[in-house]
Amino acid sequence: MVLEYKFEYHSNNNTLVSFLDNILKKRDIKYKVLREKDFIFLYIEDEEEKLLNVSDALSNELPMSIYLKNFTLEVVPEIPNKDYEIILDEFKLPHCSNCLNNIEDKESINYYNPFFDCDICGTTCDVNELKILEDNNILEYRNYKELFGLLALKISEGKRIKIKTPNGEFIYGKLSNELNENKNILCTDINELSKLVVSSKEKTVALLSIEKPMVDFNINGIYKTNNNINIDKININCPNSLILYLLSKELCRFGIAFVTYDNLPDFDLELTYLTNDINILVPKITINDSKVLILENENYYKKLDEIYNKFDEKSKAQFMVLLEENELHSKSILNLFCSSTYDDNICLYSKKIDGMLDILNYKIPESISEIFEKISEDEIGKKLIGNYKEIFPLEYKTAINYDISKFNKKSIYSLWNIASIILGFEKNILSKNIIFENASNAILEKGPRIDYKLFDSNKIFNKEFNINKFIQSGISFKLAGVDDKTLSLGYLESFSYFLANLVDEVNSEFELDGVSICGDIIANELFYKLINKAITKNFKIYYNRDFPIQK
Amino acid sequence: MNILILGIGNILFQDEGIGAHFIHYLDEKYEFSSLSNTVSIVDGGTLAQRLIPEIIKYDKVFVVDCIDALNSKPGDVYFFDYLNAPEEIDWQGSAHEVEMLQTLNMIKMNGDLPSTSVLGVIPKRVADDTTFDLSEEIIKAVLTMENTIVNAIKDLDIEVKTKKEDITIEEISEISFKRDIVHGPRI
Repeated sequence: MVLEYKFEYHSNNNTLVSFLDNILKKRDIKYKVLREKDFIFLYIEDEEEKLLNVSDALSNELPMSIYLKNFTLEVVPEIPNKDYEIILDEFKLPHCSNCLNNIEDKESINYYNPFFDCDICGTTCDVNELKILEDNNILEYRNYKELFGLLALKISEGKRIKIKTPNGEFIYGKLSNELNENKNILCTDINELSKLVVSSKEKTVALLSIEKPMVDFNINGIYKTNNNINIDKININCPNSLILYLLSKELCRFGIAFVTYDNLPDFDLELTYLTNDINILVPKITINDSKVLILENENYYKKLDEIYNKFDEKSKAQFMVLLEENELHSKSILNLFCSSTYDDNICLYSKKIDGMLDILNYKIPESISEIFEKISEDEIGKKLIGNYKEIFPLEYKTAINYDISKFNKKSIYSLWNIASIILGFEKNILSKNIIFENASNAILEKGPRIDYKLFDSNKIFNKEFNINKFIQSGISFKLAGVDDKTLSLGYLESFSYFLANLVDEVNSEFELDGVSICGDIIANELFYKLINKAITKNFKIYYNRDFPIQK
Repeated sequence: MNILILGIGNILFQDEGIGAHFIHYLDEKYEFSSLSNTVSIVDGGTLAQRLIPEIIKYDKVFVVDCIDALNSKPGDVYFFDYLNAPEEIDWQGSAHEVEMLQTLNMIKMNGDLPSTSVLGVIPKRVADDTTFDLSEEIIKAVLTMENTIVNAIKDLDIEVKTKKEDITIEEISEISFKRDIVHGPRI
């Protein structure tokens, strides 16, 4: 009997293949692993009873992964007669379920051993001693169980402990009300997650995946109110090393489900060991509508860095990596790069034009006075600015005197910042972009239609964005009494329609095979939703796979 | 048959937004049902040529917009077949109207124009502050516009039921910029 497992795996790495191989090679069984782009096929052949045992082993030992979307299982007549060589990669990964089975087994010599060597996930460590220091004195302990119990006790008493982990050294402490953007959260008990944040099944599964990524969450309203928290989002990960896992187990006994960690210099105790093996970098992800977007990651083939470094323009560099990751070099793709830190770019790639063609870049005006002067060049605009000055004198004066030279990136993000200054949106000191925040917090589904227009041109390339109309329509809606949040939603929503229309326009001139989106703006949940709704013409939308959406 | 009711106009310029406001009003007030036909309502705003791919999908289109006409006064309502427009009709009132005329002409030249009727109303043109307020003349004209379009829709074998009797165009004009359309595109 032959079983075919079909795994849908959205990554170019072969981590899943490595796991399958490591689990199965220990067993006396005939198997073969094949790969076709997003699908990994595992064939195993044996008697029915033995296959059931293997299936059980796979379900116990095969980890969840942020890249694993689905799998199916069926009986097939035979193992396909084709050869395919899969090069197993050597990415360093956190512990797996086999590690945990061993270190949690009281009968095992590896009970509570944070340096367990695993033949499934490949976790190895040449260290065999942990040192705990308090005021430069080494504290004695009889076994690791006692050590982690002591550390948990100290944290429960409010002490801050510096712990060396494969990701670097961090100071761990009790969760306090002083949550800010510099602090991350280690979740020690996943069952308690909803007490702190609003979670989803996808995000919970991601936390527990083999990659143990850092995931962004919205802090839940009750927790925010009860603890006077003034930030909305927080990054959380689950233990990504056996040291942190064992500490977490002991913390749970003290009823501590979350600890914070940071890089601040003050600490009370230090847990350390001698090694240079500090190189597992935790990926950082966000999940929008079940789509995992990689924000930070080091586990990708280094060839991508070579491609990225060939280009000075970050938008082009990012696009080229995306094409490589998705094997799109023979296709015609329109890329939308929208960033909070780099210049934006909308660019067409096609073999038919031997490379890339800039469709749209933004220009940033020198000053707000310049924008008002341009708007005032026609009678309607002149009257509009006059009315604005009269009805919103404070906002007008603030805008005129505002130095916008700091918004020097040629991006929609800069233009949104300029619009928010002109429109006098109230801004929290921690806010980075109030239009983004307002829009995300708007209760309504729809905002007013802001003008995103291009100056007339017969060319499909090097188009110029009309910032005057963009500002003028915002002022008009403000004068008509539209509130800040709804207006902000209009800015974001209309941008998504603008991009979708641009895609249609380019497609009508130059048939596209797909659209790609990169840059950190796409990580915003609302924008992701809007742009995916707006691009309707069945275009396949591509994203980076293992490489971050913005390097 | 797939029917489109398309509202056109810039809601920031008082009466010039009546086309857009009016289709929201219809959408809020009525329920359209039919076993064989569909009714879609679209707020075209000032999108003009970008509406072409939408318009050509339908078998029958009603365009609701402001128009100009010789010897007319604000609030006068006209209903006519686009290809047989009365001679006194003039669509040169404002930028968006010119754009809409060009758009329909472009579709016609390509041979893709569905059967198109225009429900036009003469706006009171006032260069005042930006506001969603409508003139008295336009508010009064809405009853005629409403009866005209409802009868035209019924003639196409669509059952029209009132679901919200007391809604007014003044109320709708304050919220149409942020209102989701219930009878959005059905195809």
